[in-house]
Amino acid sequence: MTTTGARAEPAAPATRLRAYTGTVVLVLGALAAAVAVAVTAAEGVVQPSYALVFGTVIAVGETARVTLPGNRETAPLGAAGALAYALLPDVHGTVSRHGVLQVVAVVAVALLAGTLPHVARGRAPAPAYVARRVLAAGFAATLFRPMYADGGLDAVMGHGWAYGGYLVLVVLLTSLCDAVVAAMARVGRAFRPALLAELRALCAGLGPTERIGPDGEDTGRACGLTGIGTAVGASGMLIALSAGALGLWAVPVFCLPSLLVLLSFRRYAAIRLVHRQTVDALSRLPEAAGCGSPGHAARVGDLAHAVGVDLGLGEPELRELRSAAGMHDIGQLALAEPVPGGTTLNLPEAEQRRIARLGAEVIRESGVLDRVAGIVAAQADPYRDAGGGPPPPLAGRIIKVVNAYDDLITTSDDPRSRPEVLARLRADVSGAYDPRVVEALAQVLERTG
Amino acid sequence: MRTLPPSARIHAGIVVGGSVPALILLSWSGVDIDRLGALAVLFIAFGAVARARLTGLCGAPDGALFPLVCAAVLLLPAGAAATVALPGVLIARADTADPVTRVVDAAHLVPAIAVASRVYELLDGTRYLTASELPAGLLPTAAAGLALYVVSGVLDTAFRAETQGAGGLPVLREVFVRSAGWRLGSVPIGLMMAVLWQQRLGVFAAVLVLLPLYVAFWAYAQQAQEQAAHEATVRTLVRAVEIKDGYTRGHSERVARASVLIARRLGMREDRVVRLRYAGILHDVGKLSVSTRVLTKPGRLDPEELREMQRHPVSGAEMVAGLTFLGEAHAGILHHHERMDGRGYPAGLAGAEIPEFARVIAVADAFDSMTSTRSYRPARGADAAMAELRRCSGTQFDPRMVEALAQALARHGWPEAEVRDGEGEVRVPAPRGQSRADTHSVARGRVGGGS
Repeated sequence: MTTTGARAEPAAPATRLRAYTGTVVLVLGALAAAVAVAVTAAEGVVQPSYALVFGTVIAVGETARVTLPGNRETAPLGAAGALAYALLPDVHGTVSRHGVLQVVAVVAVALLAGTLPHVARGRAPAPAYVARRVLAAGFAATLFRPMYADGGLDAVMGHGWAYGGYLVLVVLLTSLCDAVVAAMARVGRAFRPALLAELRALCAGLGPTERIGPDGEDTGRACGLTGIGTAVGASGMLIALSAGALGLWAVPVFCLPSLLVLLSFRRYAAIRLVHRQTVDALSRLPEAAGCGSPGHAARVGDLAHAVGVDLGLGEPELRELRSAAGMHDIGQLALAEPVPGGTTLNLPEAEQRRIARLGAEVIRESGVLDRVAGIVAAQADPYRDAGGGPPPPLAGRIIKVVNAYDDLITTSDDPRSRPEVLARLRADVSGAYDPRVVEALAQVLERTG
Repeated sequence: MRTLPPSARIHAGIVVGGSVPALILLSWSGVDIDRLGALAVLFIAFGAVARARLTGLCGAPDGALFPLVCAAVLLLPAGAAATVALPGVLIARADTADPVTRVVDAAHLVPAIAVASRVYELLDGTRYLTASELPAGLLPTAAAGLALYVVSGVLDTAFRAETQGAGGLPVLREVFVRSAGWRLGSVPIGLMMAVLWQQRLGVFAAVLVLLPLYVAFWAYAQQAQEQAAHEATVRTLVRAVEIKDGYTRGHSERVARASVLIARRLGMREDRVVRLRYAGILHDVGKLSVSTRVLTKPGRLDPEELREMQRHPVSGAEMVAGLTFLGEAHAGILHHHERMDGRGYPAGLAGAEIPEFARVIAVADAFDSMTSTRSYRPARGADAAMAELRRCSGTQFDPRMVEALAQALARHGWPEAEVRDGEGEVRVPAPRGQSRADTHSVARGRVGGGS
C-alpha cells in the first residue's frame, strides 16, 4: 500500500486485510511454540546440558528488557542467546545435535520463564513481542540446523571467511524476517512505512534527537553499523562460535558484551523518556497560558508524527518533527495579548511568520535545539514562495498542514466536517500547503478513522 | 600550531624520531603475513569507526582500539604489532585539535608495545595461544597488558605535564585512574580475541568481539548528547516563561544558583541538589497562566488580581506534573510561597510541614528579588538583603536556610554583575518603565508596597 495509492477509494481491501496481520503473527508464533514443545517433550531433549545453559541465558536476558525509541521492546541478551543456540555448531569438539523444533521449544520455554517476573510486576510484554522472538529463533534455526546436521556446511566450515560469511547471511536474513514480522504486527500503520521504520530501527537503532553543534551539523548520523541489530547479531554469533572453540564456560564470558549493550541502551532509553516528558510539558505551555485550544499541541504533535511516518521520514527526523510540532505555538507566548482562540490561521501571513520566528528564537536560545528551532521558524512559510525561493523543509510543511487542519476542525462545530476541511486544504490556490503532505494527512486520517 | 615548551619539544622529538627506526629494528621474526594483513585492515577500519563516534567511556577515540592493541601484542612480534597499530590510532585521533599531540600520543604506543611484547616473550608467552594453553597463557598476558598500560600511561602523563606545565601528580591521577577500567579491561578482551583468532575464527573473532562493544560505546555517547538536549529543553521551558514576564529575566537561573548554594551548605545529597536546581529553575513556571495584564500591572493588586497571582504555584506544579525526573521538586514548586508561620499560600502549611525544597526556594527567591532592580526601587546590596531575610527569619523563612545562605555568600560571594536591571535587552510585552507589583510577600509587605 502506497501513501498516495488509495486517494479516491476509501477503505481499500488492503486496509481491511491489514487489521488481521497482527493476529496472523500471534497465531503463527503460538502454533510454532506449541508444536515444538509437544514434539520435544515427546521425543526427549537432545543434549540437555546445552539446552539448559542457553535456556538460562535467554531467560535471564529476557528479564532485562529495554524499550527503544519508537516503542520497540527488545532484550539484547535474550535475543543474542536465542540466536547463539540456533547457530551453535559444536561445543569444544562435540557436535551439537539439537534440531529446529528443539530450538523453538527451548526459546519458547525460556521466554515464558523470563517473562514471568515482568508479569508478576504487572508489566507483561505485548504478545506480539513474544511471538516475534519465537518466530525469529525458528527462522534462524531453519536456515542453519538442517544444513549443519546434513553435513552441508562441512565444506564451508574449514574456511573461516566462508563460514563467517554464511553465518552473517543467516543473521541478516533473520533480521529481515523479523522486521517483516514486526511490521505485520504493527497494524496501526500502513505496511510499507511500518516495514521501513522497522528496518531503519534495526540498522540505526537510535539517533540523537538533535545534533549538537552550533550549525546543527550532522555529527551523529548513524551509518547502519550502530544499531542494536548489529550488536545482537554479532553477540549471537560470538557466543555460538566461542562455545564451539572454547567450551560451555565461554558462554557466560561472551555474554558480557551483550550485557554492556543492554546497560548502555537502558540508560539511553531512560534519558530519552525524561526528555520526551519535558518536550510534552513545554508544548502544553501555550495552552496553560491561555493561547491555544486544549490539547492542540499534543494533537498536532501526534498527527504530524503519523504524517511524517507515512512520508518516510527517518527516526531522527521524526523525533525532531515531533518536538517542533509540539512546540510550534511557543511564539504566541511572546504576544502581549493572546490570539483569540489560539488559532493563528486567520492572522495575516506576515504576523503568522513573525510568531513562528519568535518561537524559534526562544527555542534557539537553549543552545542545542537548533534544528527544531529551524523547523518551528519555517512552519508558517508557504509551500510555494511568491519570490520563487526554495520550499521550506518538509517538517515545516507538515506542521503547517497539520496545524491548519487542527485549527479548522476545532473551530468548526460539526465533527463530521473532515471532508470539507480536507477539501479546503486541497483547494488552496495560493500554494500555501504542500499537496503531497495534504494527501498523506488524508491517508492517515482515513486509516485512524 | 602553538609553540611547545622546550622540554615538550625534546620529548616529542625523541619519541617521534625514535619510533620510525624502532618500527624497523624491533623484532619482525616469525611474522604471520595473513595475520599482519588482517590486523592492519582491522585497525584502519575500526580506527575510522572510532573516530566518527566513540568517545566517553573509553577516553579519547583511539582508546576504543586498545583491545585490538592488546590482541596485536599477543598475535604478532613487536615490530609488526607496532606497525599495524599506528595507522589505526592516527586515523582514530584525526579529529583531535592538536596535530602534535596526536602524533606524539600515537608514537607513545611504539615503546609501550615493545616493552609489553618483551615482557610477554620473557614469560614464555606464545604467539599461537589455543584454548588448551589458556590457563598457562594468563600470567604472561596479564603482565604484558599491565606493561602496556603503565608504559603508555607514564609517557602520556609526562608529555601532558610538559605541554600544560601542570604538576605531574594530578595529570598522573587523571591519565591513570580515569583510563584504568577500560584499559585494563581491554586485556582480557584482547586475550579472548587472540584465542578465538587462533582457535578457528581468524579475523572474524576480532570483529565479533568489538562490534557489540562499539555499539554500547556509541549508545553511551548518544546518551550524553541526549542529556544535553534535555537540559536545553528545560532551559527553553524557562525562556518560554520569561518571554512573557521579561521583567524577571535571569531570575529563575539565579534562584536555582542560590538554592544550590544553600543545599551544598546543608550537605544535601547530590541527586537531591540536581532536583532542587530544577525546582529553582522552574519555580515560577506557573506565572504563564497569570494574565499579562495582572503580571505587569503597576502598583498594588486588587483582591481578585491577587488571587489570580497567587494561583501561580498551583498551576506551575500542574504544568510540570508530567515530569517524573523532578521528583521532590514538584513539592518545592507547589509550596515555595508558604511561610513558616503558616500565613503563606497555597496550602497554609507551617514550619516543618513545608517541604524542605520549598523552604530553600523561598529564601533564594526572596534574596534574588531584593538584589535585583525593580523600576519602583533600586536593587539592594547583598548585605542589606541578607539583613532583611534575617529579620523575617522564623516568621516567613526557615532560619536554617537563611543561615546557610549567609554562610554560603560569605564564602563564595554573590556576583555583583547579577545585581542589575533585567530590562535593557529584553523583549518585554508590557510598556517599559512601568512599575509593577512584586509577587513576594516580603517585597510586597515591607519593600515594594511601602515605597
